Amino acid sequence: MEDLNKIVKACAAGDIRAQEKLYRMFAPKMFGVCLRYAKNNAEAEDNLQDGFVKVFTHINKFRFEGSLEGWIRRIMVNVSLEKFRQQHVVYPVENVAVYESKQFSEDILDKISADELVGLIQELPPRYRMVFNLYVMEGMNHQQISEEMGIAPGTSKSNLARAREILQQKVQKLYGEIETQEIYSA
Amino acid sequence: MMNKKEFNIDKVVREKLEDFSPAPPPHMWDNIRGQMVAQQKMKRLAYYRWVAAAAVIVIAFLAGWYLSEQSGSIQPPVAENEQIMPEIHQQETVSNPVAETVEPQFENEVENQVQTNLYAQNLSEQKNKNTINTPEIRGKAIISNEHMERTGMRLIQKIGFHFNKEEITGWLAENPAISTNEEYTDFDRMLLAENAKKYAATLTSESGWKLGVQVSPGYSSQTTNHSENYSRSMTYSEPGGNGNMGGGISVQYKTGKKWSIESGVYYAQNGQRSNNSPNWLAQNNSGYYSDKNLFFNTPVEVSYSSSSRQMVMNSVAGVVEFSGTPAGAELVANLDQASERGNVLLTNGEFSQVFNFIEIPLYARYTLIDSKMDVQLMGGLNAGIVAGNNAYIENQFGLQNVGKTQDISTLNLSGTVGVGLSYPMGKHISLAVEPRMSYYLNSINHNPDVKFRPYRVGFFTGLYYEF
Repeated sequence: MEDLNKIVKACAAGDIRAQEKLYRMFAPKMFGVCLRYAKNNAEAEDNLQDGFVKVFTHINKFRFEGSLEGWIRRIMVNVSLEKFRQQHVVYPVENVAVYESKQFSEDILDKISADELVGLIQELPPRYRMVFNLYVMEGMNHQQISEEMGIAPGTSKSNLARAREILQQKVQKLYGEIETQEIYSA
Repeated sequence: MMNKKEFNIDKVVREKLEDFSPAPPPHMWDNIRGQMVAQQKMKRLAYYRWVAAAAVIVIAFLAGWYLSEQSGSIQPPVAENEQIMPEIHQQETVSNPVAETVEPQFENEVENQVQTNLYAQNLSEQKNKNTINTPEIRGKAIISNEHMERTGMRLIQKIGFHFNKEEITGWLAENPAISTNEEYTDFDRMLLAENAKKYAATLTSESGWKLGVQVSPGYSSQTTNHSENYSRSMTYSEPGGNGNMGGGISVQYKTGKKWSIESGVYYAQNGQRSNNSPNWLAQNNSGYYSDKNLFFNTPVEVSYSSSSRQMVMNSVAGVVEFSGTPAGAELVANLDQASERGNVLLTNGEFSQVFNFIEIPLYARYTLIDSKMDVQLMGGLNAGIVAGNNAYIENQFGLQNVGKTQDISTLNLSGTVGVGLSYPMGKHISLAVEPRMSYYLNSINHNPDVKFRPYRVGFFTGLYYEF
């Protein structure tokens, strides 16, 4: 913790070696985050690069009030959201749908790799991908997502439902075994 | 029914991807470095343009101010003219032409100065127009960038910060009064712990010492006022000031995030020059000094006593007490009836007075912009101790120290205002450029006939070391 504080302070003072150290510490994890939000690896790389430039530019504002990893991660999420906003402006409003949630057996969980899963998420339509990530990975609720993305909470709910549905179908295609267990609504 | 062994898609994704850490491409770090260097260059360029624009505005302002001061200070030559007149009256045949030549010259002088002022004003207006255009455009570009950055940071903050549970638990363990008090909810305790941590961080990081070493090339001049009787036999006052070098060391203590106080020891120089006035004798082609066009010629009072001989002269900064007759100078009888003094000191040279000040400042500094380049406003008071008081005449025999000025107060008070720009050169060292202006609040001469208040504009340039 003490070391990390020193590295952060050195980064803020413009120390290149400290910046590289910080980059090496967090780049793989953050690349994982960027991959989930991007449509492909090239976009994820761009976002990772922009994100780290932003991290080093603003690191003097980091007040050690939360975890550094969380702070960097939020910057990466934010860069990804910004990219999304620039690329996708107009979207039709969708109705809230009641949907079926399918339960996977543990076998599938063991079989499917993280790379495969990221690939499936990247194939989602952009807004579904954003909503799914913000809800599932960042733990945001629909109200927060709607503010973040400038959409209605209802739209966020239906987008999440559609994202789940598409993902489930894709997993089903890959592994075949899905048992329908319960009816959920978002 | 939900089977314990079964998971929905959310959980699958979360568990699989939470610690997903693929290696980014190896060239990524070089790209980031490249982008940062380019960004820094752009920022630096933008700063330089702002600084250059600010410097041009300050210089234009000072030039305008200086020139407007000049236009109101043509009075002293009148006293000088009066003193010469009787010599001319002795030869009645030439008195009229002389009188005629005095007038046009005086008018020309005024006219020239007015023209210079108008020209300078136009020039400074043009400069202002030119400089404002460029920063405006640049300003917009910077603001829009900053706006995007700020929006970005707001979004980050919106997502919210997590509290560090370990630290909070640790703090609560150290503060049983809060952890055991049942009036507090868990959330209250968490907030208290965070606040305590934040406060402790403020205490350690927001205060500190800074040492500075500076040199200060600058321009000195003064505002003066004399009684009528005194000015009748006073030296001709050259309306300009002079360039000189100052400097010193400073100590700053940061009392908060924005404020710091400063003291130190500075050396500053001030003084005035008395140029030669036209020698009317030369124009008459008569007398010993006919080959000299310009002469220093001021009435002096020579007093004799059994123990000492003293010669005094009224200068702009006060009564000058000569230590002897300067080499290359002649004392002649003063036939100017307007002056009470019986002699005139004549020499083909230039008279100057120099005061050396040791200044002990007490300044307050306020950080206006806390960024890569800090911008501070500063102001305060100096105790100015006169450490050197010398009068010089420079003629064909060189620069001679001829005496000192009487009635100079040892301790004086001046006010200073300035703008400080500092740019970090490393972890502890920063480069600073600070235009400052000091003005003496009291006349440094306590003779009731003389008001002499020096001012100095200096560019304090140097290094700061922050502990």
